[in-house]
Amino acid sequence: MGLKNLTGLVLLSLAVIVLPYALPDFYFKLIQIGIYALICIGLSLLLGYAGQISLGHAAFYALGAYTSAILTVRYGWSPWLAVWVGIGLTIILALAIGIPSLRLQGHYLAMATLAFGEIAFVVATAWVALTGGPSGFGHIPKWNVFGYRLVPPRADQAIFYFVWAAVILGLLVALNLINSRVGRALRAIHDGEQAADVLGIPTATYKIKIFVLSAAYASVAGSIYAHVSGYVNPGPFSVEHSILFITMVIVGGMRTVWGGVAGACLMGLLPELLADLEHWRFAIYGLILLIIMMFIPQGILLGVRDLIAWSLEKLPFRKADSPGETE
Amino acid sequence: MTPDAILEVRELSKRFGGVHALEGVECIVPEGQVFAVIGPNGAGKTTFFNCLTGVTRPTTGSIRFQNRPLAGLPSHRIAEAGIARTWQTIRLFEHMTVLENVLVGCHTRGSTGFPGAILRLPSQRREERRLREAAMNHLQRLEIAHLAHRPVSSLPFLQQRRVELARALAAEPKLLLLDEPAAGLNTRETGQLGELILSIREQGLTVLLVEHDMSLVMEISDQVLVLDHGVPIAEGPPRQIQENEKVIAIYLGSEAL
Ligand SMILES: Nc1ncnc2c1ncn2[C@@H]1O[C@H](COP(=O)(O)OP(=O)(O)O)[C@@H](O)[C@H]1O
Ligand SMILES: [Mg+2]
Repeated sequence: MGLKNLTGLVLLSLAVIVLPYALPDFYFKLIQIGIYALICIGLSLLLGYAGQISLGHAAFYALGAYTSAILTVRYGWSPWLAVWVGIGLTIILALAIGIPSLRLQGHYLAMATLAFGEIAFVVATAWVALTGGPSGFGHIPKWNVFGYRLVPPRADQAIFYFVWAAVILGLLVALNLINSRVGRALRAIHDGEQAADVLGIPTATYKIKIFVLSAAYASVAGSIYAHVSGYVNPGPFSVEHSILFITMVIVGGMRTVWGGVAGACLMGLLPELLADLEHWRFAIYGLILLIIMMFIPQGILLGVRDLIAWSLEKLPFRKADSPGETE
Repeated sequence: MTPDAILEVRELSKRFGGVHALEGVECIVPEGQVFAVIGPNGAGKTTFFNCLTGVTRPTTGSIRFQNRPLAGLPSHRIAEAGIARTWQTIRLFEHMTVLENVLVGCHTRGSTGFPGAILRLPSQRREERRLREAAMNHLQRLEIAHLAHRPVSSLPFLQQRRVELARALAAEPKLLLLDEPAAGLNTRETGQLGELILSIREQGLTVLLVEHDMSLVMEISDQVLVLDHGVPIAEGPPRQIQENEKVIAIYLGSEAL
C-alpha cells in the first residue's frame, strides 16, 4: 500500500481516538459526516477509478438502511446479520442496473441510476406497509458491539468510534484494491478503455464489479445510519443526496479515495462553520464550492498537497528532491 | 492449416460505409518470422491490425491464430490468446507511471481478483512481486529502467514509444503487432529498433510489422505483404517485392523503395 497511505491511516486513527477528548462539544457532528465519508469512499472508487457516475447512491444507502430497519424491528434480527442481507440485496440490484448499462460505452449508468434513485424514493414514500411511508418508522435497535449497546445520549463517543472505525476499514479495503492488479486495471480503463481491453482487461466486467462494490459501501453506510439514528424516513435518501455525495467526492478530489473523506468533512462542516452568517450562508457555501471546482479541479486534498509542495519549493532552505509518486 | 503457421487469414474484408478498407486479404504467417505489411497511407494496414486485435469486427472473413478462430472475439480474449500490439499514435495510460503502464501490460500474466486484492492475501503479494520484477526486466531491456517511477506523460515522445513497446512485451505474447514503430525516429534509432525487433524474433516471437521505412522493412523482414486500397497486390520475400512491378508502380514518385 505504500508508506504514505499507511501513515495517513495511522494519523487518521490517532485523530479519531483523541477527537472526543480534544473537542468534546464538536466531535459528535462528525458521526453523520463519517457515514457520508463511507459512501464517498465507495463513490470515489467508481468516479475516480472507473470514470463512471452514479446518481443513485442515495438509493443504495436507503436499501441498506431500510433492510436493516425492517429486519431488526419487524423480524427481530441482529443488526450484524441484517447488514449482510442489505449488502446482498444491493449486489443483486446493482448487478441488474450495472450489467445492461455498463456493457455499453458511454454514460448510460448515470441515466439508469438516476431512474433507480427516483423509483427507490417513490417506493420508500408510497409503500407505507413496508417502509412506514413519509413518516418512516423508529425504535430501530442500536448496535450491540461486544455486548455493549451503543445508546445515546451518553454513548455518542462509542457511536463516533464505531462509525469512524468503519470509515477506516472502508479506506483500508479501498486502498488495498487500488494498489493491486485490479486497481491498475481500473485506472487503465479510465485512461484508455480500448488500450486496456487490448492488453487483456475485460473492461465491462471490471466496471460492473467496481459499481457493485461502490454500491455496497453505500448500503453498509445505510445500515450503520439506521442503527445509529434509530429512525428512518425517506428524507435523507432523495436524488439530491446522491448529487450531494458526488459533489463531496469532486470537491475532495476523486483521484484518491482520501478525497472522499476530505470532501465529506469539508462539505458536511461548511454549513456549520457558516452558521453565524444566517441567510447569507447558502450563497457563501455555493460560492466556496464554485471556487473549489473552478480553481482546484483536482480537489482540495491534492490541491493542498500541491500548495504545500509549491511553497516548500519557494522557501530558500529546502532543496526540491522528493521524487513524485502517485497514489 | 500449414503446420508451422501461427496466423492464417482468409478472405478478410472490412467496409466502413462505402469505404472498402480491406478487401479479400489473405495471408499465412509462419511462426518465428518478421512479417511486414506495407502500402501507402489509407491502404488498410491499421484496419488489418484492428481486425486482428478485436478493435473492429471484420465484415467477412476468418482469422485463425494457433489454429483457433479469432474473428468476433472481444479484444481481451484475443490478448489472453497471446497477441499484443502497439498503436500508430501512442496510447499510454497518461495518469500512471512508466512502471505502472508496464504492469498493466503484465495483466494477463497475473490472476489476482477483487477478493484477493481487498484482503491482500499472501498469494497476491507474491504475484505482485513477481510482476514487478518482470516489468522491471522489460524496462531494462528497453533501457528505460531509470525512468520507472516517472509519470509517463512527462516523457519525451521517443521514450513513450519505448514504454509502449515494453508494455506490449510485458504481456509475453506469441504474436506482436507493431504499427509504424519507426515513425519519428532518426537513422540511428531506427537501426536500434531493427536490432531490437530481430532480438524479439530470436526469442521465438512472431512479429507483424507495419512500417513506412522501407530500408528497415527490407532489412529485417522475412516476408512482405503489400496492400493497396485494402487489396493485397503482392506477397513475397523482400528482394522479390522490391522488384515487383505493381509495387513499384504504387510507390512511383516516392523515393521510398
Ligand atoms: N473507424 C473508421 N471509420 C471509417 N473509416 C475508417 C475507419 N478506420 C479506417 N477507415 C478508413 O479505412 C481506410 C484504411 O485506413 P487505415 O487502416 O488507417 O490505413 P493505413 O493504416 O494503411 O494508413 C481509410 O480510407 C480510412 O479512412
Ligand atoms: Mg495506419
